[in-house]
Amino acid sequence: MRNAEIGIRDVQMELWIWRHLGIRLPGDWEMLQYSLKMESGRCAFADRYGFRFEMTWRRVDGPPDFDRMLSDYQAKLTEDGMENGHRITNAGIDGLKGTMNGDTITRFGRYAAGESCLVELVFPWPDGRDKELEREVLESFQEVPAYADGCRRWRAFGMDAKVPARLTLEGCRAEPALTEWSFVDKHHRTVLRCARRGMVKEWMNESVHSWLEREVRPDARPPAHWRHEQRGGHAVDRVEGRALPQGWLRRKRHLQSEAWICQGDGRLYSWIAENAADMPSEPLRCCGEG
Amino acid sequence: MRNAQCQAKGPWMEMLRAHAMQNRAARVERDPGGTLSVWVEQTRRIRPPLSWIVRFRGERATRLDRIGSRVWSLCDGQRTVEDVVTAIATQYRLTFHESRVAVTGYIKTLIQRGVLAIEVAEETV
Repeated sequence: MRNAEIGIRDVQMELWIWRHLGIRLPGDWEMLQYSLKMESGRCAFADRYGFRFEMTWRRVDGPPDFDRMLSDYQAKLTEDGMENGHRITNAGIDGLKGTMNGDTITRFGRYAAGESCLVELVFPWPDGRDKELEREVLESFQEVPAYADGCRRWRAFGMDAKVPARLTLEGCRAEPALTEWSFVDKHHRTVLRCARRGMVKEWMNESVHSWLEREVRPDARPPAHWRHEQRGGHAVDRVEGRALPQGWLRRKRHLQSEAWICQGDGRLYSWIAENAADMPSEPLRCCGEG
Repeated sequence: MRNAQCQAKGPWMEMLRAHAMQNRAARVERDPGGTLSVWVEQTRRIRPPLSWIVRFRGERATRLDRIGSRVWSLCDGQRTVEDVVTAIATQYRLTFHESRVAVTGYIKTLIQRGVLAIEVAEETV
């Protein structure tokens, strides 16, 4: 639905955390493009009709001279075809407003000191600029610090992960009814895979326990420890044991895994950690902001 | 800052505004379990001498599973692809774009197989 039809204030804002940068966006905006790179990259969000927001980042040596940078950027955008370009400020953040291909676009720059990152927040406004929404989004922008135990938070595509800081996001698969993240350490010894599967009633014809057993395939020696518990209104199945031997050394990696179906959205959530002694107790959460 | 390539209008909009409709010439068989078989006449013919050796089938069947049958039944020529996407998203508890990617991909396959046809809305200025 377009904002004009429903009034944007009726839409709940949702928190997204990607690359340790957090932002709150209307609940019907979805992330359609993302980058895994920490040095530089972008995420683009769209409502059902088109792109509404873009966040790009680039690691820099220190805080930039915003005034000079905006002037240079304005000149470059004018060269690229931006019309009526001029400086604006919203929520105390300096930016640029202009028209490109008939659409109003506003752009703002922020420096994330903790991450040494220059962040650009871009809003295309196909139905005209909504300054109030823009302010709300800009004010919500934040660097997300590490938890007290050093873990970092990633929150997108309905998943909320708490990941040891030594692991980096190596892969992200976002398909209809399936999202998977894989975090690995530098030597690819420790792996944490988080997944969220939809349309569960259409394909799952077994218990969560048997699905998890098939998915994880723990070795029988020593026998894996299974546990079934109620947590936050969810029936969680947990297994801890050794993975099947792999490689020519026939190593059996330590593994932990959990799976449950969220009562809120009906999706199957699961995580599998291999060789991870420092895994937090709940590396993946589903509903609620926590 | 780099020059962002963000375009306001999604490239998927043309498809969403289109109307998908069933091939009226197709023969439909309802299979047990809510699935469908849609038989479409083949336009390509094989010529002798190949036709003396290979038996030619005048029709080709496309078998639709339960979700495919639901998509097919929603493509009635009245609903836009956006309506179909929304209906599937609601029924299967998917987000709009999850449903859009799955439904539009599926509709494209069915169009290629001659099961569905698409009417693209003209752009109004």
